Amino acid sequence: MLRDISLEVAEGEYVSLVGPSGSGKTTLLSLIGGLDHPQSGQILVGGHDLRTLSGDGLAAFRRETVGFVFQHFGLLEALTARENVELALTLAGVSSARQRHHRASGLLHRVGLGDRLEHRPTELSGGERQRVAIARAIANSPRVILADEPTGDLDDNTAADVGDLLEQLREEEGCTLVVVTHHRRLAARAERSLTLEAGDLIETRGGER
Amino acid sequence: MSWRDALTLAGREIRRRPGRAALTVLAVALASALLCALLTIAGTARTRVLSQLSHGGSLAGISVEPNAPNPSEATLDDPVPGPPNPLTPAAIAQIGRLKDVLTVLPIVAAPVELLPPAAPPAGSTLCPSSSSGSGTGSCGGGLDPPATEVMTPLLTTSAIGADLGRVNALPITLLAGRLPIAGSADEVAVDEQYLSSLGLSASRAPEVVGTRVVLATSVGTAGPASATRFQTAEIVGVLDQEMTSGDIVAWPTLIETLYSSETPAGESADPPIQGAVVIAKQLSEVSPVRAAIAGIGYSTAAPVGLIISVGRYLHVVELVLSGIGIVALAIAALGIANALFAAVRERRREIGVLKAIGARDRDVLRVFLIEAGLLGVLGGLVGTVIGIAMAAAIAANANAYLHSQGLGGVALSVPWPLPFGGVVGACAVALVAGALPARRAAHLPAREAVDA
Repeated sequence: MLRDISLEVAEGEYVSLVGPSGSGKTTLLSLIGGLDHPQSGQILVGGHDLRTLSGDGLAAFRRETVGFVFQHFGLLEALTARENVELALTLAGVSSARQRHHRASGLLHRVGLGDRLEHRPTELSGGERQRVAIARAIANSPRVILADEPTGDLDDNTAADVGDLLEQLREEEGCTLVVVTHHRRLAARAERSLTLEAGDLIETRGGER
Repeated sequence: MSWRDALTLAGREIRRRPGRAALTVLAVALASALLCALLTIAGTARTRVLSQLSHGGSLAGISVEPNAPNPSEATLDDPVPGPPNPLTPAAIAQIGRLKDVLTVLPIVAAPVELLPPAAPPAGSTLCPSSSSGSGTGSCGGGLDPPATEVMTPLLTTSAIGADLGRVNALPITLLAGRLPIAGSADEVAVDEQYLSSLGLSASRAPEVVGTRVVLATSVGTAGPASATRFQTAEIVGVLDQEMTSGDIVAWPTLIETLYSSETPAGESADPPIQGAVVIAKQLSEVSPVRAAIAGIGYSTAAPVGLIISVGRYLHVVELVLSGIGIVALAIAALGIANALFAAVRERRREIGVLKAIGARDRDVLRVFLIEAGLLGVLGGLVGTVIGIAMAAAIAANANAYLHSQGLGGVALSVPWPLPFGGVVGACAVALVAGALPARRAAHLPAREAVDA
């Protein structure tokens, strides 16, 4: 699906990736995030050569280096908002329950959900769920946040709020943000916008191809 | 992810789908219940059958007769004894010192006449049962006041004295009431022969419990030098006993009381040892112990050959019942596997997300295995309780029937490993059943997180 792609993203940069459905945007994001393996080529993220990683190594890369935000939010319905954020900390090896609780609560306050800590995903609106997912994505202070259609299931106003939040957190955390989106307004907020079309990656704004 | 975190997550996932979890637990519970009930019933039946074969006493119990052994029948379970050879305290002590003998319980006996359940009137005396019906005259001297009235015995029999504190070792089955309290000289248990003498069937055994009876025995040389002793006792139980011939069972204290005083001629007497029950250390030691006792000069009986044969048949029955239970467990295992496969199908994306945020394959495996284990433990707990309750209900029904037939009931025998094994077994079956779905979940690609 993806052939002869070359992409370099600077640390702390905000890049949007647009393109028609089926063009390979999500595949590219999966490759960058270590969810998928390339058949050939090289992927370097934060100093990690993903070709050399597998199994536990890839799992460690995913929990320490990247934070994912999904269109479908990806929250575990059996857990509360706080527990969903805590789960990322648990997987990262934070053994102190008190520490996890404190950090998760702080993050949810930060994304404006201080009064929804003990609500389950089914009791939250779409925008609130995505905020929980964003809090979870930054829980382990990743170097890269990868967002796959983060506003795809949200109305325009809520989408704008989520866009604001992602941008704000990127600035505060100093991490790289790569957003796959169909949402023109969200794409327009990025420092650099790339279009994936017929297997080609075209720089449509900022930087160079 | 620690085991504790995985346990929390697995518990939440189970609670998230209570209906499915309840059905899965129910399937395991029913299978466990069936297996537990079958094994409990089989165990109880085995105990009952073998107990009956050994006349209620220890399976390793050997009955020693006051007779010489009959060489031609020495290896039979119940040989015809040889000529009389009185059992003496010295012989009892010698048997007790034999290798592989756990204990020896001597049984004393006294010939008694049973008088109707009322205190003997002052000045009454006793006529031998052979002279019953004569209605007149005095039949003997004695320590009691001069005879003024002749009483007709109800039954001529033997009163047996044994250490009833070792009832489990004795060939005794209680049909109604209880056994006399330790050391009592005024409490007795009677057998069915006594009921027959009153014209009662076995099913009416409880009616005689609480009534009183008078035991009379003659001590000393027959004739004017003998003495007749009376002892009033309360009947506290009805039983079936195979210790020795006799219809009254009591503590040796009562027999000794009957023999305690001297006769007018100045004689004193010890109650004769009517037999002994010897308990071997193990069932397999019964034959060597019998041979050793024969070497001392006494005939023995023990249903060991019959017990071993019947035990083999009962083992086959247990295997069949276990097989039925195992088939039920296998069906429950399929239920668990099916439920977990469905959970894996439904939670593909969730598993992908778990991996995307850093879960390792073994973290996912752990969560699913714990889910399976929890379902198994819950099912095992519920099933074991239900199974034992089912067995108890069946035993109660069986007892009601047996008692209505005048037979001894069955005591529910729950082997101690069963409750523990029921829970652990169900958990193990669940883990085995859950292994494949858990493995499938663990190997799902992280890419599932972003696939539609």
